[in-house]
Amino acid sequence: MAFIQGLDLGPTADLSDETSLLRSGLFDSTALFHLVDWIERQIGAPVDPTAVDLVREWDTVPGILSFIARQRDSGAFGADEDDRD
Amino acid sequence: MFVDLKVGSLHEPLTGRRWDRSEIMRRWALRVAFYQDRGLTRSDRVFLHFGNTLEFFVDLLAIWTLGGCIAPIDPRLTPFEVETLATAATPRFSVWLGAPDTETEKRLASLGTSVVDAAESSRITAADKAARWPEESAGLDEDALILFTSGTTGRPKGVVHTHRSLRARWISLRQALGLEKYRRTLCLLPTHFGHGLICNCLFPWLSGQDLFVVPPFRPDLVVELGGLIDRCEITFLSSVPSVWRLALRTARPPGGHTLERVFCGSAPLSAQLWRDIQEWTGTREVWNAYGITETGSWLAGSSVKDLVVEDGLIGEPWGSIVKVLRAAALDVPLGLAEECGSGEPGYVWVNTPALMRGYLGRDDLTRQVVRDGWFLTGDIGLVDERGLLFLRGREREEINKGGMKVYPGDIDAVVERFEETLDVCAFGFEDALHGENVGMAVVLKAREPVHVRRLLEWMRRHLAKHQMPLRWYVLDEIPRSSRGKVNRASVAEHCARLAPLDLRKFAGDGLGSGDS
Repeated sequence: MAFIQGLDLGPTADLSDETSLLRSGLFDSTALFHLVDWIERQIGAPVDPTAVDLVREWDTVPGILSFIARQRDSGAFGADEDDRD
Repeated sequence: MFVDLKVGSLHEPLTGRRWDRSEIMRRWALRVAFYQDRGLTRSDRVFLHFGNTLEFFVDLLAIWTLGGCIAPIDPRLTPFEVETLATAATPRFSVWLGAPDTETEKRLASLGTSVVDAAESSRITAADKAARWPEESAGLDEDALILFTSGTTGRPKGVVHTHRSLRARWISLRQALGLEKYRRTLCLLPTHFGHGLICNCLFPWLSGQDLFVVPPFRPDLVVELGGLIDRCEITFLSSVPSVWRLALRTARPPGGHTLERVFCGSAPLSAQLWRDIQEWTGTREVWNAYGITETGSWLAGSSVKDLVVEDGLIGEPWGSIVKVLRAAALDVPLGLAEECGSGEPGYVWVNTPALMRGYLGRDDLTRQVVRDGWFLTGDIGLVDERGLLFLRGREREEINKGGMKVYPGDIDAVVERFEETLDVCAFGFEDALHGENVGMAVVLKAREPVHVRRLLEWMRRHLAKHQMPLRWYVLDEIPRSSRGKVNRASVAEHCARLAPLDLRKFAGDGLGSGDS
């Protein structure tokens, strides 16, 4: 949450667990680019966009945290069948 | 107005709305009647604040039919910036989809501009109002389009195109590029950009090709770009390097193999990114397109057979003559200027019938870039032994933030008006996503958090979000040359050695520098 609050989301950004980050347009491309960097640092591997639905999984803070936890648990990004659409 | 007697269909993939040609013709007539009822007459200027919608394109047809001139306005501008543009352009109408915020409406009304809701015409039926088609169409040399490229906080720079200059661009593109590959064109770019409106949208659409428009600056759309291309069976799209950088990291590639040609423009394209885009899109026809709003955008590109991509490579001119000269002087006839030899860098000049009429009410600025009908682009480039154009840098001081041009002078103008500012210098710095981003060095009367917070609030009221500096440096003084001049590049170099301000510490309300 601290990382996301550090992004410049504008004066009206009031984040909660339900706040839509991507679909609402709250995140601009800079914020998303920084988020990808940050997530890749957290999981220690590049994000594979062919393996997951990023808009769905990263649209909320709990979604992002759950995504990271799953990638850490799996030990290898993108290998989990459940991640495939 | 039409390049080929008919327009294509219009689609909004996100809303599912689709207007075929007969629906566009019906609405066109309604909108002509709508504007006639409100007294629109020839040469009236109209601000359109609802780009990237189906309604925008039909209003454009209607206003042009009546001889009006449109100015697409970035919907992200603050009320102050809209007022600044309106003061300069004196529009008769300011048209919104829905109502603008009350402050903007008040400021426009005080200037005598009528604020109009475009949705009103949905309540008018063809039976109620029939268009009275004007007996005469707009003259080719009448103003058709004003695109504001800078000065939203001070003295606006509005590029004015006539019907003739626009038509020259479209016809030259059609001759150079054909139409076949543009039959299902996607526009991800904002329609208040020359690149997005004149070339990505109007070139194919006014030639009868189908156009798909989505809201600009939506990263979720970039993440879903592959699926969007497949669903809409897109054959062509144009974009900017920063969109591709994001797409390559976050979007699954399209699987339908519908894309036949892709343009990348408005910012430098590296050979590596070029190859990555080719791989992602599945087409070899990824072209680097070079365009400037003043020349009706795309004036050259990589339409060369079997081209091997290289850093800075543009290609051949489209409907333009491009020369690289040793001088940028405008006070002598160009015939006396020395041309650079093959491979020798110099100043890029362009001669094209698509050149703007000039800057709105700014003959002084026009004289600084146009000589004998040639346009001084401000870019540094070279022509190689094959006759291909390469770009190597630029003389202009604008900051190219992923294709969006941010003018440091606009930021300086706002910060200087803040009562606690002693000195300021905005500048560009390298950015992994956008290529360049905005930084700012500022000297304040006092450096306590409360003063920084006030400045932040002031800037947010007066600058659009994309203009806001990402990195702030509060200094004791702005470094100056021995002659007392501020050199933005030197200030940027000086600041690069310092830690930028962490705005979160000052704001504490979610306001951040984004650098963390």
